[in-house]
Amino acid sequence: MVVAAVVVLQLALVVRGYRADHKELAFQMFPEASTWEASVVRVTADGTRIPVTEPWSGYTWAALVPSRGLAHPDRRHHADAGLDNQIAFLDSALDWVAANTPRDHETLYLEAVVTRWHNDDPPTTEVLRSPKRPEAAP
Amino acid sequence: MRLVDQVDEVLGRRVSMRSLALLRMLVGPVVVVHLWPFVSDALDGRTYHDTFHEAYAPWYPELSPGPYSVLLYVGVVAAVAMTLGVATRVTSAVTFGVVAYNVFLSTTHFHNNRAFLMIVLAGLAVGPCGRELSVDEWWHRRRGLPPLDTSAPAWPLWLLRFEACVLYGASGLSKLLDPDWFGGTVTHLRVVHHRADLGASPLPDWALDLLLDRSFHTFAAKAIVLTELAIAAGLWSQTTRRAAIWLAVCFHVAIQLTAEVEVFSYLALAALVIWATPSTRDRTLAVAPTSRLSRAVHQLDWLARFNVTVPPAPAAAPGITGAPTGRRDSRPTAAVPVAVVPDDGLPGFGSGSPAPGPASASAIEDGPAPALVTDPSAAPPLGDGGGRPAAGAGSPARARDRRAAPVPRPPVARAGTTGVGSAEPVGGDDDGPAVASADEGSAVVAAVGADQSAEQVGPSGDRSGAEAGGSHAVVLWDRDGSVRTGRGATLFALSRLPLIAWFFLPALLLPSVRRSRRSAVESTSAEAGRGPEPPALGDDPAAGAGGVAENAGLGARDQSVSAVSEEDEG
Repeated sequence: MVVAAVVVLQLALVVRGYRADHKELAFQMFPEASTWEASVVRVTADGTRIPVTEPWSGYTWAALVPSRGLAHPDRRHHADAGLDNQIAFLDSALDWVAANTPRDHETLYLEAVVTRWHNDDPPTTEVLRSPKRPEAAP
Repeated sequence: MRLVDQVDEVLGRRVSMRSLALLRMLVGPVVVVHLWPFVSDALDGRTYHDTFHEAYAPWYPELSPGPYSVLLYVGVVAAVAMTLGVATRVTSAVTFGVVAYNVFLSTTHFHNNRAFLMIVLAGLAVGPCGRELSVDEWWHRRRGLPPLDTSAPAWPLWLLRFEACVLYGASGLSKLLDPDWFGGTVTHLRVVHHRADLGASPLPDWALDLLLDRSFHTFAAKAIVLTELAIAAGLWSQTTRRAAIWLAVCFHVAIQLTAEVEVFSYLALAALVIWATPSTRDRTLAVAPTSRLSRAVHQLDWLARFNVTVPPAPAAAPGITGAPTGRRDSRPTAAVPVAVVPDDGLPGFGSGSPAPGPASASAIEDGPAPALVTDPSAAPPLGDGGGRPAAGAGSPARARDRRAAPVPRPPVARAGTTGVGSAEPVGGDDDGPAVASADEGSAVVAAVGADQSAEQVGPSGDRSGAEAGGSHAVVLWDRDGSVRTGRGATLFALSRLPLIAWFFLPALLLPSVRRSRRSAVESTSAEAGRGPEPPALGDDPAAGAGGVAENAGLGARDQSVSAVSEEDEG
């Protein structure tokens, strides 16, 4: 029974990997040669757009988001686990930074303009935004 | 029998857990390497709390930095203890728990290599992997307690095998279904993206040109995909398993050289031990005790595949006399190992080899009668303390067949091959686990139909045995009853050592060769300035290569070389 359950669960996870952003236990290794880069900015309440490459309120982007190839989004990177996975991480990272920078009272939200190259396809662009931060409310 | 019943029988069959014990020892250091970056950060006062992380579920319990750091330290300690086999049931479970908890703490912690590590640790946690090669076993023996049962139901092993195949199969399938991958676009682009790194590497220009050639990747990508799928499929059949394992070794070495995959390569290579046939002492190697081959097998036979005994006398071994050809005889002519191996193939997957149990019995029944028939009364009955049925039996019918067969009972050899454990698993049958202890003399050797017991051959007897064996310094009885002699037996024995153990072979053998050569030169310096040939691998350095043992005139030299060698070895 245990063996059958594990086998079924594992096979289900493999199938799930073809649709999920994070392909846990789907073992799709080296899936793409895709690359991406993003221009990440802080948008203040007055509409000013400030790149996160500049430190703010004692924070730096690279220190807050050091993993999964997100530390320097302004450089073109290989999407290690696929583009969908990478963009999902970046989207979550914007949310996390917005929610975990309590000393920052000027940023209304964070925004990333992402350029993605799926293998050798032409590039596409999309915009990601964090939720608005109550700390920046006027 | 219905398929479900057959699968159930295979999963419930008691088999040796030796491979899991070895895997446990290999995976422990991998866990330490995996956890170390987390521990290092914790020692510096940093944890995942300080940086971007994303919980899988809001209900997943999170620890504050202090307890989390302590948990990581506990994980490292548990991994070390698991490697040593200290309180193995507890430490393997704790190790798995810490690694799994940490991986599932955040989506950012998840990588394929960590997922596979978690799976392997789960297998070790549910399988009794601490009854051999462990401090637990040593402590148990030291207290004079009865030997631990080293066999267990096979399902944890089969689950790990399934997961290992999923690893290769799912990876290969995803590439097969992706036109960009199968067409070579992905591999080509990856090389192009790393062109600068490749240019700085010591690769020759022609290799660089080849790697940057788009058409090369049209074929290379297909080769990679087919390699992964071939490994996944090939591991299931005993016929193709060895080739699949070698393919996997080459594959992982290539990955390690070309990509950053954390602990994946080491882990995947270590996990290959689960494909060893789950039985122990099912091959008998007759070799002079002082030979390098004997030493190598004693020290590197970590999967306990061999019983090691002394070579038989030729008079008692009519079937194996003659020049050593290294040829594998298809039928046993002189002896068969009594240990028979359960066919561990799943029903329907088609084991390429004959079912060992019945085949062995059949070979015994059909073999040359004069050489094989011995006095049954001289043999300990099956299942007694001296010579229990050695391998895990398959079906009850198979077990009954073995009992019914007129198996010639061999003399008992005290011949454990490793210095780690005396209680070696030899599988079990349907009447219950059959645990035999090599120290108890139950490592059964069918020795050439003669009454000469390996036990009765002392050090001097060993020498005479080797010499009497003449050119047959090495004789090997495989589990299917076939016999190999000479270099063929030597190469076969070495090839059946764990792959990882091979890395230790040069360290073990080369100094020995140098010492042996030096000793031989010193001891023969009085002889006409003729230096001796280095003894061939597998031959006794004393009884030695070039038919030294057969040359009675060199007996004194023979013994002096042996004495020096043994002294050097300490």
